[in-house]
Amino acid sequence: MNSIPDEPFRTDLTTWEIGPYHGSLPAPMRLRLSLDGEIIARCQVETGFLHRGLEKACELHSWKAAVSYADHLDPESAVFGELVLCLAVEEIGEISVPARAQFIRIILSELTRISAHLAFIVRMAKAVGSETVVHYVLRDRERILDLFELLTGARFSINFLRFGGVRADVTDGFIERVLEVCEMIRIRMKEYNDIFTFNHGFLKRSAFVGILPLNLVRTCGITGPNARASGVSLDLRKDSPYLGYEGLEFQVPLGLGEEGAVGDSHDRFLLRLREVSQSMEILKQITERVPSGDFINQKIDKEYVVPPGEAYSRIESSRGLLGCHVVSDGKLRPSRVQFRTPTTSHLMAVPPLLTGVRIEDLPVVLASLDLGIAEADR
Amino acid sequence: MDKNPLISRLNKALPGAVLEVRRFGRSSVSSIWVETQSIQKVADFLINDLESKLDWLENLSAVEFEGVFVLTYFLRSTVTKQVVAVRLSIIPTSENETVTLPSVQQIWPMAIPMQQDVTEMFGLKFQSSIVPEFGRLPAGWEGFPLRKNYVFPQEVMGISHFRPFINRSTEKKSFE
Amino acid sequence: MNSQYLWTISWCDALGISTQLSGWVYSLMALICTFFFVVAPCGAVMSYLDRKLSADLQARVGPNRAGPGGIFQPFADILKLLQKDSQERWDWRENFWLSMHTMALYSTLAVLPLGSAALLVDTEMTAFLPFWSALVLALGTMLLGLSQDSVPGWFGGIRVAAQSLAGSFSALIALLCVGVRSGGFRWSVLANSQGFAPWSWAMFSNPFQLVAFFVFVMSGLVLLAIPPLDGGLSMSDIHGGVSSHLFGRRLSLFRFGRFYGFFNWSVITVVLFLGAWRLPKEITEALVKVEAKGLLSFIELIWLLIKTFFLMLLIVWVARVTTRCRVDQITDFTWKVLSPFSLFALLGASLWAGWKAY
Repeated sequence: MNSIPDEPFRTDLTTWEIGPYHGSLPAPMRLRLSLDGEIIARCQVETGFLHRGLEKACELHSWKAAVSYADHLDPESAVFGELVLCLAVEEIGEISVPARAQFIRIILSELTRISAHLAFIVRMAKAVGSETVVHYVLRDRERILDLFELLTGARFSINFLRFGGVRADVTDGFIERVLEVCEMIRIRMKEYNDIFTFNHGFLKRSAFVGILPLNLVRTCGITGPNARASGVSLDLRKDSPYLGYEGLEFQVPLGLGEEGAVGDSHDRFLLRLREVSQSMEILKQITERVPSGDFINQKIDKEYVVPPGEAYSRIESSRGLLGCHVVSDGKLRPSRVQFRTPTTSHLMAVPPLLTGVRIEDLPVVLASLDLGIAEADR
Repeated sequence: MDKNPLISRLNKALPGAVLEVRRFGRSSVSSIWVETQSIQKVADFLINDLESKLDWLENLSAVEFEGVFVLTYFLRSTVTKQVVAVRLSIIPTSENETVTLPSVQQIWPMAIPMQQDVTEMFGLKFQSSIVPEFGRLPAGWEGFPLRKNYVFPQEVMGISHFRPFINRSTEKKSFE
Repeated sequence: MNSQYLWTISWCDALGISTQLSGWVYSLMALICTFFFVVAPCGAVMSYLDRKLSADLQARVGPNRAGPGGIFQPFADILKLLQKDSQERWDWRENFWLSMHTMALYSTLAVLPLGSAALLVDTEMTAFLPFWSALVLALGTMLLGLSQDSVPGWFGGIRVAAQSLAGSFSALIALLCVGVRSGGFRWSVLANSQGFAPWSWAMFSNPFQLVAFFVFVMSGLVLLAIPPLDGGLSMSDIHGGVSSHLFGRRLSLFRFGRFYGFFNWSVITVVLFLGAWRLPKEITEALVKVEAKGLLSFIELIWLLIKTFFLMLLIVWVARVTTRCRVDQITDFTWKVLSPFSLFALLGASLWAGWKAY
């Protein structure tokens, strides 16, 4: 997984192992560093500490249970795992999904995207030691989790999507509260910008740090906000729309390198802030046109058996392209469920990105890549 | 499906490499079944083909169908946005045997972690020059978990795999 | 030791202990009393204020369990930390350097200016002594880190030492500015050149002193590695530096030492630039007239501490909302920005003083 770059420094190197648990790491992983003074000369990444055997677990359980396993693919943004699996199964079984269910799914996806990006801001603030921002953003993310609770009954790991729809209809007043939260976050974003985004100290720590070049994006197959910050315009919501994103108006922000170079840590940070605003745009549009009707395809009952066949679905998760290859042999259990997770590619870019970086910038670079180790380890 | 210009170009360049062309599932994507040993040449052709330029290996998925392993390379072009699935099958001669097949990491570098995944989970080895040091499974893990005939170990590092079986129905009765 | 200011003599007399003890006993008692009755309570108050203030800033509650409004939280903390200690590990090098570093730190207690009547050491060079101990502290921290056999320790130690070296130059020059103004480096001279009212403080006496004040505060943060300029103790990249291997009692010793450094520096800043312990002339004269020397020094102490806490809380406030700076940025800033400014301030202050004398 980790191609080892040539050592650019010919001095006595210090070796240092960080992890599996360390304050600068986003999740359990191990970094083996060779340090030349305070500069990283070589880096190896070891992951697998969160391997739970999700794909095997999906094969061992019924089709319905697979959804709750897909939910655990990335605990922070649970809905994407469920969604990608449901889309694949619906393609195999040619299950039609009511329009209302599709809209609820979009609302959930965008709320999850906002919440995941807010969690990203938290990690970024933690990496540069800005405690106050951490608390501010976590406080605001709670409001989104409250919305999840209102809609699904759970804050994390919501287990809400079903083949052919969603588990329950929206609660009374949910739509209004979504708009309220959007408005609140819009105001708060200004607050974050004042206190953090354009703070001189933060710019000093993040601009020109960890520049992700275009060729690395291509060789590692990096997708999502990280790729867009480096100038690759790829957003599946635009390029191959699913759920009904084609009817919505929103922009795909690209990294411009306003405060530093294109594709540096600050660019990745700014881009995610912009994506939050775009998600709020989507939410505003969609809350106006939620149609009435069923929230689930009534033909899909407990006895439903997925017919033999296979499908590969892909969606834009908060971290990038999330794919799912599902194979059914017509029996009670899935024959194979395979996930293509964006973090797998991001991890591949970590060793070249960290080479030549100061050890103090290591947490910043790692946080700015928004690694979801849970989904990479599966 | 033969009308697909990509397939005819591929057939012209590498006669005999393409075994069959089908639709992938119910989607409009065509899946090209190729001869296992020729995957490297096919990959080389696909990335250099000026009209399709399939330069991005989006996903590499392995499936076991009744003892036959099927590898699917989901390809996408960042230039022409074309999507193709290239597939090949491997039949191991015996259970628990590792099979070696050509690697595509020279052509698509992003294949490195995906191939490693397949190696660890299915026991399909790739003839690659770069072998990653670390895997997802603990060092010295025996067996290939995603094969259908995989038997779960009774105990891993002193931790019992199976929870004590509780018969819920009898428990309920005892309460009554 | 300055027997003239040795207030413990009069205390001992009043308590009827003995009048014929040798000087060092009185001095030792003075040091112990200063530590337990001034520094330690200040630590408790400051830790509470720090936590409550940052909690308010960060929209959370802060300590609220121990006592009303959580005011007993510092005691709960200290009781908890004192219970924790390692039973197995005994590393003589670590203990040696920890005690060295602690001794160097608390040696400044003798020169801590806490009021006109509470000056244990007041010689022509007193104001320079805290620098000496700050440098020894940095050296001690570095050797403590190097003795830990771990990368966080090495990095933390060397970073703290590099920062201290960078910060000490500009701090020294800024100190010279005040000395030029007041005409000496005795605490009493430095204090008496200022008054109660803010416009009579050294900081506002002329623009160069204002520059010197800011240089002095910032280089003090660098010198003692106080947030937000605490790259040597970064939690996120090197796991807290030197403190990563310390825990329980040793960690509390180390942490309290860091608080003491911060407190010490703030007290000195207040004495040098912010009007020291000076009260309005009338109060001082009235109290001297009725010979209430104890009351006078008590009021002076309180007034000094109020200003100190204010300064400390201001720094805490800034630290909470800013990001932590990188060590190379800190040293860069100190050498390239603070040092030229300090030299500029010294030049200006000298010319100003010369012009006034002329």
